[in-house]
This record gives sequence, structure tokens and C-alpha cells, in this order.
Amino acid sequence: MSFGLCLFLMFPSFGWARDSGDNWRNLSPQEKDNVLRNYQRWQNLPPRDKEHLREEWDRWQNLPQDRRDQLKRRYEDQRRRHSND
Amino acid sequence: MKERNCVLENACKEFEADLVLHYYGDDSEADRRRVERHCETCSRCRGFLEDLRQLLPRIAKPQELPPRFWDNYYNEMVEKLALQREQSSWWRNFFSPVRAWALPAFGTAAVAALALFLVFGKAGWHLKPTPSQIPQEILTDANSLEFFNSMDLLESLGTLEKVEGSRTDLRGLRHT
Repeated sequence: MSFGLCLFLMFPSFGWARDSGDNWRNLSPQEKDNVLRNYQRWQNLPPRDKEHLREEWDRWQNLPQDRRDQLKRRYEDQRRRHSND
Repeated sequence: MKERNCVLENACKEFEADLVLHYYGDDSEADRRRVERHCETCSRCRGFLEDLRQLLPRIAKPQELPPRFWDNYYNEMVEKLALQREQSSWWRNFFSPVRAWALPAFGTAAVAALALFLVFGKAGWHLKPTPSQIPQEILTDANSLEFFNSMDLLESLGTLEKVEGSRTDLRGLRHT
């Protein structure tokens, strides 16, 4: 009975652990490398740049979805062009 | 001894059982008197009783066993019972010293195993482990992961918007 109670109490944390593991696992290898690289870069950024990026992030999140998709496509195009050069 | 090739005299049906009991002396006083009275007048039952007296001692001759046999029999039984008791309770003896903590320990182990299964079970054990240089609170937050994934784009966001804006302006001019 106590085992069952223990299991019942721990069940939400199992779900949380699984979901949180999924966030990282669901990223592609390229996205994982991206996150790792940018996190390390973030550590060395001056506070002013960090603040700027936070503002840009807020702005990005408030953009309409079609605008975000458009900018994303443009960014990918530019990146491809740079890597080809 | 009267030889009849082991064939019993036919007794009266209702007295057959009583006659056997009478022979062994297991009948009641009343039955004994009743059988004796009957036998005085019934030659068949008398013959049956006589046959019992002659044949039964030969058929079921009691074998007297020496006391040593019964001593050995008793000792053998005691040994067998002890062996059986030992064999049936070996697992109880195995668990008895740990019985006090075994249940919670096994319960905790089972819960831990279940937690591991739920966390890693979906994608299997072959996955690349999460990087230790990134704090867990970032790895578990989808928003933070997306932020770091999009950081390059965020740095170019202003430029991208300017380019997009100028393109739109150019398109507008061409149309006019």
C-alpha cells in the first residue's frame, strides 16, 4: 500500500522528467550543436549584448507567425549563400 | 483341522456381519447374546463361525515385529521430517535476516527503475547523453532551448528586417 502511495506521489515528477528530457531529445543533432555553441558564446557576451539579445527575443516572439517564417527563410537563404561563398 | 479348501459355510445373510464381529469380539453384549442364541439353532451360522475360527488365523497371521524395527522406523521418520522441514524453509532462512528492510528497499528500487524507464524508455538507452556544460534548467525549458537555437538569427534580426523592408519598398516602387 505504501509502495502504491509512493508511486502515486512520484508519478507527476516522472512525467515532468520525461517531458523535460524530450525537449532536448527532440532537437536535431545540428540544433543541439547550435544550442551548445550559442550557450558557450552567451557565457562570454558582455551584459549589453545580452540585454540586446533579450530584447530581440521578445520582439521575435511578438512577431506574427508568417513574418517569423518569412524572416527565417531569408536568414536560411543568406546563410546558405555565405557558406557557398 | 477340517479341510474345506478355504470355502466358508454360507451363513444367514442378516447374521454374516455380526458373526465376523463376534469372532473378533467387537460386538456388543446384546449382539453377542443374540448371535449365540441364533447359533444354537442354526447349523449354517455355527459352521460359518467355525470356518472363521479356522481360516482367519491362517489368512491374516499377525507378524510380530521386534522393538528394534519400531525404533528404527521412528528414527527414520524423524530424520525425514527434519529434512523436509529444512528443504521447505531454505528461502525463508535466506530472507529472514533482511526481512525488516527488504520490502522498502525493493519498493524503492522498483520505483527508481520505473522512473528510469519512463525517462529513458521512450527513446532508448543509446541516446547521446545531455551535455553537462549546459545547466539542467535550460535543457528542460523549451523556451530557453529555442532562444539559444535562434541566437544567430536574433543577432541578424535587425539587418534581416531592414533588408526585407527595403525589398518591400523596391517592389512597391516597381509597381508604381
